[in-house]
Amino acid sequence: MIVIKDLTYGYHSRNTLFQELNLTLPPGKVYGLLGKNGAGKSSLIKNMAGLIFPQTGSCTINGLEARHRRPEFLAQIFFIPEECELPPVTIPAFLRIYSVFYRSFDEGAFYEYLRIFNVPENCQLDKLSFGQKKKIHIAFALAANTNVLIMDEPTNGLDIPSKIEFREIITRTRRHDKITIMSTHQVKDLDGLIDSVIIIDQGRVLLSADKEEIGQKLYFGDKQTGDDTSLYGIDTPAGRRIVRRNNGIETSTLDLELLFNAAIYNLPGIRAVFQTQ
Amino acid sequence: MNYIRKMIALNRRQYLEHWQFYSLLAFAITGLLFLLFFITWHWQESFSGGVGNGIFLIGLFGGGAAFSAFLYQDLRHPAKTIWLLGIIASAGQKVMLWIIYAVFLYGVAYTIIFYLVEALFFSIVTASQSTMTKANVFSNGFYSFYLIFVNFQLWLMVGSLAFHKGALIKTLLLMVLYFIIAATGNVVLMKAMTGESSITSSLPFNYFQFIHDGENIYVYLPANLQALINVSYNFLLPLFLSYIAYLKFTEKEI
Repeated sequence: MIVIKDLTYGYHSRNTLFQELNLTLPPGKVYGLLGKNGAGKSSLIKNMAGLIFPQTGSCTINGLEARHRRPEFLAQIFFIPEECELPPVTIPAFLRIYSVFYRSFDEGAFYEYLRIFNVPENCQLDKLSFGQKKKIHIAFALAANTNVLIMDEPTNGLDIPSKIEFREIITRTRRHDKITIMSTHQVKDLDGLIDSVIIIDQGRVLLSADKEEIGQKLYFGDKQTGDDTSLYGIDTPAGRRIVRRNNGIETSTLDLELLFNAAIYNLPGIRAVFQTQ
Repeated sequence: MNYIRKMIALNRRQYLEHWQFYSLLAFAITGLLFLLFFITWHWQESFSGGVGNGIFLIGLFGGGAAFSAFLYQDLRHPAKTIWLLGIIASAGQKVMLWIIYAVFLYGVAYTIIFYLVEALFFSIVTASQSTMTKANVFSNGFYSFYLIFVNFQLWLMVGSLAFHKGALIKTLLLMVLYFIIAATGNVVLMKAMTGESSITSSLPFNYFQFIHDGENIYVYLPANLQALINVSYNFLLPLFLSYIAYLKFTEKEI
């Protein structure tokens, strides 16, 4: 479990990005951390990974303080940054160097993910394209079988087929005791992949809810004539798409983009829905 | 994984990822040493004795600085730093590995290369002054330069952890600046303390020199005090620097 308690963080002591932020992430779920550019997504996940330190408050993973970066903590977590750099070695050498650090590393799974991603198994890592490096990074992180996997903009640099392969692999590697966090501003990429949504903006958590809860409380669909209860809407070539309060019996498919925009542009409306009922 | 096995795994990483650079550096140092030996041999009458020792020091410190600049390159790229910080080992183990590479492995490897090159060079050339030109690193207290080298490398490590950009240059400049300020400051201090205005040079915690009846007089610290200072410089300072590097590494943020 990840527990963020009263976390205050800022690039400078006078200018805080997060002010006494609280967030608890239970295991067994894939979390989508959504926010605009500069919303604080990367800062939040870096705090979780112990790469930056809070001014006050704490961030713990399974009871271990992130900022101390003790080996027991590092063994629990794998962090994939937005920009990936790999050493100038071949894949077998890379495995020989790094797999020994991870007790539950699954070499067979690693090569399987590479096959799904169509990455050649005997290439020199530093000669690969950005997207290929990212795929190897993701494959290694998943094969490492850590309890927590944090990915910063995981789909950046991946082409369309690779994004589909990425979804397939993430779906395969779900575990009841694992926390996967994917931070992105490309909300469409996470459609159908996540169990829980966290939307942040200007250092605040605007919404943190499971997909099920969102489905119970909100309805996503086309605007009907005479319906003026929408919380937010956008015009599409097929008509106006809206999100509105669910009356409790309707079912709809979660539209992350609509939800995200609703949270950003009509926060009181969204908060009212999630605080009542 | 226990401490030793983790250190072995870290060492394997360090070696397998960078063996090409180590080989290149070894070749570069070999070439440089040959060149320096050739220059001093060709113009041997322009150089007085102890030239070999001078060449040894140029390679030891120059090559050591280049080696350090490469060793800490992970700290200059955020993605590489994140990867380094994420490796399942303690900050102490990672810093210890740097010390082993920067201080011990480089020191030993360089000494071996130096003596191989020297032996090869003087087997090729014949010169009456070759015995003068040859280095004698393990006599007359010359080994103390190894102890200075240890501190030099550790300062570079602390500098690499303290500065985000241009760490090597900044640290080297600071070292030079410190040396100048300490030496000139010490002269001023000695003049003020003794009232002797003819003090012309000094080295902090070592000596000062003044002119009396047209002769240079050197004043050294009492032997027991000097021994204490030497112990502090050569053994305590490296420990402090290593600890500072460890603390800086634990505080490293991306």
